[in-house]
Order: sequence, then structure tokens, then C-alpha cells
Amino acid sequence: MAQLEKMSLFLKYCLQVTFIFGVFIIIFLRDILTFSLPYQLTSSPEYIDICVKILTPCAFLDLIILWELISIMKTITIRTSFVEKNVCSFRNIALCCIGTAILLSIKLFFYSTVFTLALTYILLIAGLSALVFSQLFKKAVDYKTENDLTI
Amino acid sequence: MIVVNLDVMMARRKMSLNELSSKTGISSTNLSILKNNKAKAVRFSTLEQICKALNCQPGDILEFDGVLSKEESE
Repeated sequence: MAQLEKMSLFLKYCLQVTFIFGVFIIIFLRDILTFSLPYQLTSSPEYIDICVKILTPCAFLDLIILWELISIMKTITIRTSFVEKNVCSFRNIALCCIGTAILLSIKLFFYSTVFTLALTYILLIAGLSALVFSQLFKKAVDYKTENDLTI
Repeated sequence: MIVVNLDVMMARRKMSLNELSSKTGISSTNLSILKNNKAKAVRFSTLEQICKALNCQPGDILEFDGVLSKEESE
């Protein structure tokens, strides 16, 4: 198996494990926040409530991102990378990243932290990058189709 | 649009698709794509093999019908 396929297979397994962890995080989000956040924040139950309300849809969007990345890795391992399905996957990843960034920016209105601000910015950049990748893959699909139909 | 008259030439030479495929080394699938005008481009090497097998000129196989294809007009 070529190096690309080996790397994408390894990455696919890592993403699948991350996905399973992500499901557990959604289920036990409130408890995780209660135990992991500093006492000053957890002493106000309103903060936990707002965090759970905002972070739960964020977590669902992130699970969609992981799911799409897993499907992209699957196509790479079977050597069919340049397909229309991956163009849609990258577009979905972009929408989910931007959606998560919007949700986190809502949290900034209630409790502004440097970490949340930085994460919002990073997700915005990631979303725009995924949009660019989506268009790039579209071009690649067009070139591949033309090449396949060159006799 | 460039029209491929491969089927006309094959009929004149009384050659089947499989026979042409074995003579040229081009797969039947690719020859079928060519014959049905689904191909986007043809390599010179492919054209060479086909002309040699059918004993004809490129002009016998390829014809311009006077209409620009959609990609060309854009």
C-alpha cells in the first residue's frame, strides 16, 4: 500500500476514535464542564447552563466534521480521492466550522475568554480553508474526468 | 463539434470493436467511448494506432460539423 493510503488509513482510525470520544463528550458534557472548569466559573450554575446550551450544538457540528473527514479518508484509502462526494464533504466541513465559530462568538457575549476568541478565529479560518479546498477538489474532479475521457 | 466516424470506418473495413481493440491495444471500453462521441480528447498515439489498424487517414475518422461545442463557446 502506498504511503498516502497508509497515512490516510491511520488518520481514519484516529478520527474514528475521536468520533467515539466526541459522542461520550456530548453525553457527559455537563459533568465534564463541572469537573474541568475552574471553581470560579463552576460556582455559577448559569455559566454551566449557557456553556452546555452553546457547546452541545457545537459538539454536534464537530461530530459532522469528523464524520465527513472519515468519509474523505475512506475515499483516499481506496484511491478514489477526486470524486464529487469529497467536494460536498469539504463544503459541509466549511459550513460546520463557520457554524461552530458563530455559536462560540455568541458565547463571547456572555463570557468572553481569550481561549474562546482564539478558537472562534481558528474555526473561521478553518471554515474558509475548507471552502477553498472544496473548490480545489471541484477543479481536480473536472481535470480527472477530462483525463479519464482522453483516449 | 468534432464528430468521430469510427463506426463508419469499422463498417467499411468490416472490423468489429473487439478486433480493433486487439489490433490497436486500446480497450473496448475506450474505443466505445470514442465511437459514441463521449471522449473529451484523443492522443496522437491513439489516433496513429487506429489509423494504422483501419488503414485510413485521421480525416476519415474525425469530422468537424460546423457547430462549436458548449465548452468552446463558453
